[in-house]
Amino acid sequence: MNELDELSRLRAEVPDRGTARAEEIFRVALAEELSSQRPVASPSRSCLRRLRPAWRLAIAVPLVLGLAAGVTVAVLPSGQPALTVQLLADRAAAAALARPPVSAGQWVYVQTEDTGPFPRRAGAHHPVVQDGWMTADGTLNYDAGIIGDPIYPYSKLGSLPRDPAELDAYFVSQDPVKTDNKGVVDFSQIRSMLFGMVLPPWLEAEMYHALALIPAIRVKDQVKDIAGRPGVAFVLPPTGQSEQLEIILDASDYHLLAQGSWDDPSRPSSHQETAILKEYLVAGLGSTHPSTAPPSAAELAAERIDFFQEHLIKPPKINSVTPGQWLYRDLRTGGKDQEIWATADDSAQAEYVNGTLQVCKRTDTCAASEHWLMPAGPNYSLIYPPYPHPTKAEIKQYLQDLRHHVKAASPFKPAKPLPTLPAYPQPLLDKLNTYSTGCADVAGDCNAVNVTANVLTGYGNYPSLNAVWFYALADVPGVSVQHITDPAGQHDIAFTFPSQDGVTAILVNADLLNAGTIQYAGYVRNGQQTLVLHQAPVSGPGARP
Amino acid sequence: MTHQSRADTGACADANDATVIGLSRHEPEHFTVLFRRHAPHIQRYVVRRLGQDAADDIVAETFLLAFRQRDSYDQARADARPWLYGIATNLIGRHRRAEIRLYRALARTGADPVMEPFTDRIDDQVSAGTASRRLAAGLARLPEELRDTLLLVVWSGLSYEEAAAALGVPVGTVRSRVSRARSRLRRALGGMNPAASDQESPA
Repeated sequence: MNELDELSRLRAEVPDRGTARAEEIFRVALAEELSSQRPVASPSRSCLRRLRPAWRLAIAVPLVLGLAAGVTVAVLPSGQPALTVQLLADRAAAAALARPPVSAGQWVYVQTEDTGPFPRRAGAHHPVVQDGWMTADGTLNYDAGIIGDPIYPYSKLGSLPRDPAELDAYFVSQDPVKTDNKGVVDFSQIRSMLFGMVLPPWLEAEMYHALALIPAIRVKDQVKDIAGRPGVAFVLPPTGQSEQLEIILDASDYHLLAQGSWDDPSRPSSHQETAILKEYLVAGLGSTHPSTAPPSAAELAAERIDFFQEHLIKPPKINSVTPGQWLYRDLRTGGKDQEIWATADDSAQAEYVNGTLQVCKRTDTCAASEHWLMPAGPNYSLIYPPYPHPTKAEIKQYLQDLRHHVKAASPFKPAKPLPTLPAYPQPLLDKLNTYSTGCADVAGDCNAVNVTANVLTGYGNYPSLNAVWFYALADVPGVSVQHITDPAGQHDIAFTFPSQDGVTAILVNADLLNAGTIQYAGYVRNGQQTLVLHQAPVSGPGARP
Repeated sequence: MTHQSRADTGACADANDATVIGLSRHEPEHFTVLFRRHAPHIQRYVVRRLGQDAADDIVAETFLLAFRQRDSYDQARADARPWLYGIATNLIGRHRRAEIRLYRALARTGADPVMEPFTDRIDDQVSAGTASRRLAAGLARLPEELRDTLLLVVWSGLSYEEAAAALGVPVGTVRSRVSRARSRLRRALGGMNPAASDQESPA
């Protein structure tokens, strides 16, 4: 199965829902458009007679109609003589070699600006500014993926050829599609490498020398990037097969400013550019505070979990249960087994007490008891709230309402916005600390740690736990990572917390993580380990797999 | 490819798009023929990129913008699809962050938010395999112009020539973008498993 087949299959089952709503919106907008011009003429030609003249304003739908925005790019005429490809490569390489190396797992904050959607109208400037984070090796990124793509594993950079001409040949040889235009392939690969990760200084320097050896390469002096900063550029002129490609460097210190392309260099509207407004090292995901401190062991463990989550090699067994699905869990605490049942979204739990099955719903007061592994009890919102799944009858009714111009709420949307937790580690930690779990060492993040342990134990990995939970654990002050063997004989990574209040460690199965899957293993509370020995979907509370 | 809907079976059924657009210059109502003819396919394309909710608005806006530009339509082009897909693609571009978020959600969780509203039974949850998740991660990382071009060719069924007309670029640019986008996606599908990257070492 190649990438085109995969792509053809992706979302291919989108059903034909009809265009009733779109048509309604279109008709309303068109009627408004026409009413501001002249009365609607009745159709005189035969072909429209049978069309229902439904021009009335049935549903008032706000429609934002902006004109395609454009961009101004100032490319000053080349006045300075003497900047040659070789000279620019030498200067950029020298500057790269003067910069300190960065470790692979270091988080980098990146703020980009780009020209926005195309095609644009000339003269108008409509930039899109975006904050993102990536690790220096380019494997993890949050909204920073726009700027580049790590096309080569960071850990193997050391084995790349140390000769620029050989590097060029290698990049060309790596084009799986074997495009004729080798210069474009080479330039694009180098551009992806430069922008997609923070290269070791020696390799960044070599990249500039490799660029200089591409046969058609040119330099452009006195350019400005979309942010208006003065720069110098490596330019690959357009051919019949490709657009013009550019890499813009800062005119004074030669750091990377922007990457651009032009379908037709004579038409400003065909220009696309992404500029790096800010790029510096930070302590962790979501932080904008500069820090050159290397990532901690806990941070690196969280990154590893994140990596396997995004590039999952083996999905966890319970990967895609629905929110209401009952899950059976066998927990072992201090040699004693305990069976619990919970719905995947933790909306209810069940347990045998003295031979009687007791069911506790999240909305009941029983949920507040620490006995139940509900992260927050009835006072707090669900963490993965159920998305409405309308019935066929509701869908039918909705479509009928649309057809008869009745204003109806979409059954696919929740009635009110679903509660969500913060997406980045520190704000998540702050939020979880506001939950009350009965512990005392609030400054030591004990509430957040307790809630996290309950969430990891109580939720059915639906759809799968977000790595942000582990990043948050890595942000707890004083956290360390231990490698332990638990009573079940498994090797675990233990996120261990200095506070001796409540949960003091959270365990992830290291053997499975090494094999490319993620399995939460358990926690330590009051000196006792609780391990999740077994979990499986079952038909209902009390049922065993 | 047939792109005429059931609603389009009257006397206008045999009129090509250019004729319909020509008629609509003086009699705007004719433009609804164009809508009924092409909206279903364009809607499907937009839904695949941005989900059902956003698609309704974008499809409507596509035709409204097209309507406003109808006077400048090149009457030599019998088929209006490249023109309409070009406008739709431009509008999709304004929702780029939302589009990327959807791919990333699929990549990270295996649950596709685009497909979710279409499962009308609770146990009918759409769950994606590893390949789809990697593909989505690759799509999220594609530069916009590569993603626009590739998806236009693969999901809309436009030929390279039609896609070039839609995007307002030379056909050679479409070819090179498709090949660059494909090579990136192929890499994404190969996975980022460091243990599996031995074959990527230079000889």
